[in-house]
Amino acid sequence: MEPSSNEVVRDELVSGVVASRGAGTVAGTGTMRQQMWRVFRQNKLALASLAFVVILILGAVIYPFFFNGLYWKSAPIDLANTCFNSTAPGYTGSAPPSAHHWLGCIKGYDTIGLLFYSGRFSLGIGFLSAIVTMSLGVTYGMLSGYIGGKLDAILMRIVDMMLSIPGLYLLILTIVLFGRSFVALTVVIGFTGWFGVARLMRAETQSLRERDYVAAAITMGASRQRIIYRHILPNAMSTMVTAGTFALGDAILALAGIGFLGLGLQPPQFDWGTLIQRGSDVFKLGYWWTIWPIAALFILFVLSTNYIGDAMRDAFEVRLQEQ
Amino acid sequence: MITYIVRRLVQSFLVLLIVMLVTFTLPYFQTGGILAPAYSVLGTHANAYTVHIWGVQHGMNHPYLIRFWNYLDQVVFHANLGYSYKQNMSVWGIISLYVPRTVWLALSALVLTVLIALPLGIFQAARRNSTFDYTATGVAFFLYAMPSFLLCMLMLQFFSFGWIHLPAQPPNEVAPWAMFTDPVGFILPIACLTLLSVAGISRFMRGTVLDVLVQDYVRTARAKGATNRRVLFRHALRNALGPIVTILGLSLPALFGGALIIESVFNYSGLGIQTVNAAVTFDVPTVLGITVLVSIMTLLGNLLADVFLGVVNPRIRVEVQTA
Repeated sequence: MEPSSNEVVRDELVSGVVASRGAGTVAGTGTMRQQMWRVFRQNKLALASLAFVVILILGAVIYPFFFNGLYWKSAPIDLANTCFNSTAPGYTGSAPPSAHHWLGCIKGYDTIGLLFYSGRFSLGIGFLSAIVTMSLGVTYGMLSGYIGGKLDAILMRIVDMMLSIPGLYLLILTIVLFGRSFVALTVVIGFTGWFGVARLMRAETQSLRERDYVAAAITMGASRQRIIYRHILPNAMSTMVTAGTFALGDAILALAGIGFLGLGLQPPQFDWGTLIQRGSDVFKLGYWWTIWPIAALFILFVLSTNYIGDAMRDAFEVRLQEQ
Repeated sequence: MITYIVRRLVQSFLVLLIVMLVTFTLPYFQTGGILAPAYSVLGTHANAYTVHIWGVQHGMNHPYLIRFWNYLDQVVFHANLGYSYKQNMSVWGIISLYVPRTVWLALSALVLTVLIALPLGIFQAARRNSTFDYTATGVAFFLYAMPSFLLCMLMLQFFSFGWIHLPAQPPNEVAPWAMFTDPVGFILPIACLTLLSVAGISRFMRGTVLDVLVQDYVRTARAKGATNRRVLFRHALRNALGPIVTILGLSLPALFGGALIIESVFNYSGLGIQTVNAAVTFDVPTVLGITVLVSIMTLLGNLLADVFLGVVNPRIRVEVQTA
């Protein structure tokens, strides 16, 4: 069974960039959680990433409340907004960064405000659909891997088949059919992204069920349910956490792709992809600030989730070594 | 070898059947049922009566299984993918008009990827942990974290509006052979698509070659006094070719997905733009047809990769015959 190209390639990328960490020697004593935090803290890059993601989430939750009428309720165009004092003819409201608007304006809205406002939807859909992806993929993969035999063969053929439909086309097809509301997008992105996770979890379960402690549990008469919940699931945690952070990054990128194609959320709701799409037509006229800040945000966010996932994997592995 | 190919062909056909079953069944779950597109097609003329008539005209009064059989019959035996709801054309007509454009884009990107990523990966592996290696890794990771449309827009800014002035749009709405008579317009789109896949494939190549370089036969070759170049290209490259071919086959869905985004950014009318337009206008047969077609191309790509793998690696042939 070949892994999908994405997983393999990503594993290569991660192992290449975060090559020197020296984790595994610092666990020491304390409760499990303290040990894990100590290992996580060791990775400065992951710590910075965590700070960035937390600031982004806090900003998305809190910031729109400060600008209630402007960005939250229905995001109406505020005529008193200084964005409209732009000198660009024909494109009023797309002003370059200034002391008043640190990242400039996009069509009448302050970019920072828009970033945080649309972050609510992007992050919300991202996290929720990552949860959907993970629960589907983990259940499916564990069943397939643990029960094995004919069921495994059939389930894995289904995954192979779904993986042979290009993801973006499948996504577009389902969006046509189920609409573009917050809930529909969450479900659609969640349901089209779990195939890789299922494969990964199947492989992990297959290797875990051959371990001695599972054999011991079977000998002691543990039920299948108990073995899955108490023995296999906790030990697959590090893989799950890594897969989860990647699922989050993938979901947010997928949402951005959809938004950029004009199939994302509809105003007054925005996501980061829709924001880029709105900025893109003025960008072609030389308004660089409509794209650059969002680009930086995207890259930083996806890199951050990958680094955090990597550090968390280390933390979980150390916990396992200690036991 | 012949039995191997025949077996893989039968497998691919079965997978294709299931893909068609899934894509055919999905519209039954859309909001408003399979008659939902009627409201979009008929517009202001939609009422209970006209919608019913529209449904009968499109064979929607038949039961599910009979409809699926009719669909299969038409697709498999008559190569008829249906008739577009919105454009006055058969889906096959739309596809035959636009498929050469997309395939040209994707194929040239694939060829360029192989030409760039393979040597890059080998050199990175040969000069492991050098400055060059670290730089290439960093760039690859950066490209990987970036949504594809952002890369396109940044390329546009630098190479079309900025430092040099390449055409921002390939020749459109002309005969497909414009790709040979006016190749300058294709530089940017093909470069974007290539960069995106080079990021992943070169990393994978580096990993594979590193794995091969520690094998005994490489040490033997060095001990015999073979030059570094001969070791790399004769021994390492040949043995690394197997996994790379598989990954290239598996990366086809991503390539088609990437082509979709790139067509949208560069305003190049190919399959991708048609899919998005059909999606926005609820043109279900067109989206279904294109999805099935792209799946067929992906399956064929995987099949070719497997056959090629059997050709370069005799062990696989033997395994298949004895299995």
